[in-house]
Amino acid sequence: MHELSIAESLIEMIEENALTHDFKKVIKITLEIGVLAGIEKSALLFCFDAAAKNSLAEGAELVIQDKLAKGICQHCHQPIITSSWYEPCRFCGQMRIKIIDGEQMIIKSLQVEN
Amino acid sequence: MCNICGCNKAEHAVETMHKHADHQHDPISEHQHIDCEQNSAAASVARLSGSRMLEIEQNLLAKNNYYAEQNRQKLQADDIFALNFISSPGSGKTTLLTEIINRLKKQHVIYVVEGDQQTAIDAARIRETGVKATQINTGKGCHLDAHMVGHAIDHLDMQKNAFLFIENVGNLICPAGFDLGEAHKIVILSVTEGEDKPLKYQEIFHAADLMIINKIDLLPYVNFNLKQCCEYAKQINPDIEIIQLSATSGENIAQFSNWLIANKAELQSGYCSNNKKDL
Repeated sequence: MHELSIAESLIEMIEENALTHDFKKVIKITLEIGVLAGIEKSALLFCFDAAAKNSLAEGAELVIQDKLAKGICQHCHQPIITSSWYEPCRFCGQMRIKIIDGEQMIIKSLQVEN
Repeated sequence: MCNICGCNKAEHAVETMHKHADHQHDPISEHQHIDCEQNSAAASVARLSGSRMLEIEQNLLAKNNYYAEQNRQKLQADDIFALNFISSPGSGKTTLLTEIINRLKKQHVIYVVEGDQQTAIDAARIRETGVKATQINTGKGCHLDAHMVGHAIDHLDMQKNAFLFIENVGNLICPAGFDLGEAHKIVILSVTEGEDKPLKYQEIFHAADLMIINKIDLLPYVNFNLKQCCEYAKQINPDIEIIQLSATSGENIAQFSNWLIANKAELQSGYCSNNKKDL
C-alpha cells in the first residue's frame, strides 16, 4: 500500500505549491502515471481521500491519466508500446526491450482557487 | 520540528534516536529544499478571483529521490557499499544477513539498518553478531524511504570503507520504487514461495541487480521449479544475476560473500557508476 505514501507526498507537494503560487483550495488534480510505475489506480484514489482530509485538497477531484510504456527492442531496434516488463517484441519476438517511457508519476496540473 | 526537512510529519522512528530538537543536519547550503525556497515569491503574486489552472509537471517521487541522492553521495564519499535487501516476509533475510556478517566481519566493517513496521527484534539479532545495527520502525509504513535511511545513517556514525546492509520491510511490492541511495537492490526469494513470483511482482525483479534464491536445502521437500524461476526473472530483467544458496546449511554462501566483496571493490575502484538504472 505504498499508494498511501504517494498520496501523502502529493498532499505535501500541493501544500508547497500553495505557498509558491498563492492558492487556498484545490478543485482538481491531474496526475500522469505510467503503466510501469507500480501504482494501483484504485488504491491511490482510495488513499487520496484519506490523505487529503483537512488539507486544502479535501474534496478535490483526482484525475489519473494512464501513460503507456514505450520501449526499444534491443534486438531489432524497433520502437514498441508495451504494458509489462516481459512482453516480447511484436516484430521479432525477442524479450529484451529497453523501456524509455512509462515509469513516471507526475503531477501535471492543479486547478486551484484563491 | 526540524527547520530543514520538516520531518516531524514523518511517522517513522529510528530506534534510540535523538528527539527532533536534537536533529543534526548538513549545513543549509548543502540541504536545499524545494519547499522552503520560493515562499517569498508568493506575496507578490496578484490574487485572482475564480479558479485557475497551474501546469506544474512535478515528479511525485522528487523528494525521496533528492534524499536518496544525498545518501548516495555521502556513502560514496565515505567508500561505504550500501545494499538494499528486499523480499517477502519470511524469506530468510535476517538469517542470511547474520550468516554473511559472521563470515565477513573479521576482514570487513559492517553496519546494518533494519526496517520493520514494529519491534526491534531483528536489530537485536544482528547485534548478537557483534556489528552495529539500528532499527527503523515504519509504523503503518510498508517500505523504507530515503529520508528515514538518511537519519539512520547519521545515527550509525559509520567509519569509512565499510558495508551497509539495509534490510527493507518484508514486502515485494512497495519498496521497489523507493530509491534509498544504495549501490544495488538485492531481491531474495525462498523456495517455499512460488517460482512465478518474478512474473507476479515484476517491478522489484526489474529494479534488482541480484536475485538470491534462499532455502535451497528444502528443494527436495517442496514443489519449486528452480530453472523456471530463473527463466522468469531473466525475462523481466535480462541483466539480473542469480545466486542460489541456503543461509541455514551454508551451501553456496561463499558465492554471495564473493559477490559482495567483488562488487564493493568494483564500486570503490570507480568502474561502477552509481547503479541507478536508466529510467
